[in-house]
Amino acid sequence: MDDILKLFADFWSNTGFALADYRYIIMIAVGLIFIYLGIAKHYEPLLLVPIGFGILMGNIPVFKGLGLAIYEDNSVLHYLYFGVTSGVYPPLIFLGIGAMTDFSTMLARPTLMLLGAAAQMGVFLTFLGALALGFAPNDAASIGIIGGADGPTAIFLSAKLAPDLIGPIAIAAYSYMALVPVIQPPIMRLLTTREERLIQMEEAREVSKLEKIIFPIVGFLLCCFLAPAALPLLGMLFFGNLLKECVVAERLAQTSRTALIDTVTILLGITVGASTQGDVFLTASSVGIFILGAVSFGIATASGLIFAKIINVFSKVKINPLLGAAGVSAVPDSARVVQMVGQEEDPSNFLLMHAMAPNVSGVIGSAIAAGVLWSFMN
Amino acid sequence: MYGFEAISHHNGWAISVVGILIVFTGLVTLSLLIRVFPKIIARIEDNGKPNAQSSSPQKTIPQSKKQEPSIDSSIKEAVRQYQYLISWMGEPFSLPRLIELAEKRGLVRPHATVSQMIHASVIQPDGKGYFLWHAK
Repeated sequence: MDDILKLFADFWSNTGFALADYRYIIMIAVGLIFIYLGIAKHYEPLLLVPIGFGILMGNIPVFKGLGLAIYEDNSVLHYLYFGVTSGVYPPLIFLGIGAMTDFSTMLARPTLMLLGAAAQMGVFLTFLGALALGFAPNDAASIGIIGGADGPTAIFLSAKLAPDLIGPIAIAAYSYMALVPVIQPPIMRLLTTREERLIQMEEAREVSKLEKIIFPIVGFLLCCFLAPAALPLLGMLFFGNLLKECVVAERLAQTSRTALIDTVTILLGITVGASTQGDVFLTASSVGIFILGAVSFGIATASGLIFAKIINVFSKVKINPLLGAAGVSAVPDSARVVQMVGQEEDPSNFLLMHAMAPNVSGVIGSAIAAGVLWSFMN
Repeated sequence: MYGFEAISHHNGWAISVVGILIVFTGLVTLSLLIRVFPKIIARIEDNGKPNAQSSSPQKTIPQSKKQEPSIDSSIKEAVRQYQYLISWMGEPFSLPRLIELAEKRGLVRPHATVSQMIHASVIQPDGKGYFLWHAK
């Protein structure tokens, strides 16, 4: 009888119930909130559902040494997490993004690209803020890139510069991307007048097929000669876009924008979520990263809006300043938010296609910013 | 170390100024190049015309034009405009909703245009009361 009781006692001591502490419970609650937001509120479900479930997986308290937890060398999750820590997954996601992005609106109105550049000020201002708060330069650079509102770029840079902070940075970046419809509209309304929000954009010109084919080649050469450290991200982005536009490689483009990006998104979401193990994740620096991430995102949105207003001071043809908010590279959510806020004032104002121009240039801009920061920190 | 002292110590001001300048330089240069794309392409095409005329009349240029998508040239522009509406609506889409959006957008004769696109098989029924977009 004693043997049986001892076996039960041993078994109990190895269960999650016995090993759990409050940090795991908090993180499980966070995971459930992510899943709820993804499923019930439709906030970036393709990201929040895998990340949310990954958080649950990472916060099952397990017996250390069995090779189960993501931070144990021989665990399956650890092998899958290698794609994050080595920076393999983000370029593959960029390949898919390139293969599904239509750059025509940007090619038709290149001036709007400046809004994508302006929004990157959020990255560098937050970098300064993180330095001021006592973060090391590498950590500060990784935190700053959250303002780019580009999850893969944030993961890529933090994998290179601050591997210990990948979890909080990725979670912060994806959380704010998912919350674009909540965070951006108040800033947009605050920084623009009703008259400005009513501005209608001129019809964009038609872009020829040849332009669309030449663009990824020229864009790649120019951007990567300027910021070679952005090569893994921009190389794959422009390559994916060339596959899409050249038509003759449609099968490869189709795979890149469907099966490949979906597979990588699943692996990335699950492992990033699992990396938020309560005892490793719940620290003061994670809280600091979340606060700075929100600030960074707000500054990026405001920078784009203000820059659009500055352009209007000097330009004869006025642009709707709301488009500046799409300079953050949360594609296509921030463009949708611009459309939504614009149509609140005037239902006949159709800004979506115009907002895609700063939106996709923001993707290029944040990748350049990441490359620049990486090269400076090395 | 905190505050301005930390920023100065880690060369933060210079990194930020140079960083944002590089981002702007990259995107401004790219936008200037994009601006001249149509002119360069037009010039290349203009230069190509005499050569095409001087070669044999059975040159394959007209044939390659025939192999372009079967969308009637008169509705090409409309196809482009409606594609944006549909990318906004998602697929499958409702035809009345598409026409309603087109009217709000100020597009000309949406009923007639949609009808033309259905005839050209750009818009096809999905068999469940909704429609799918088939233009490439």
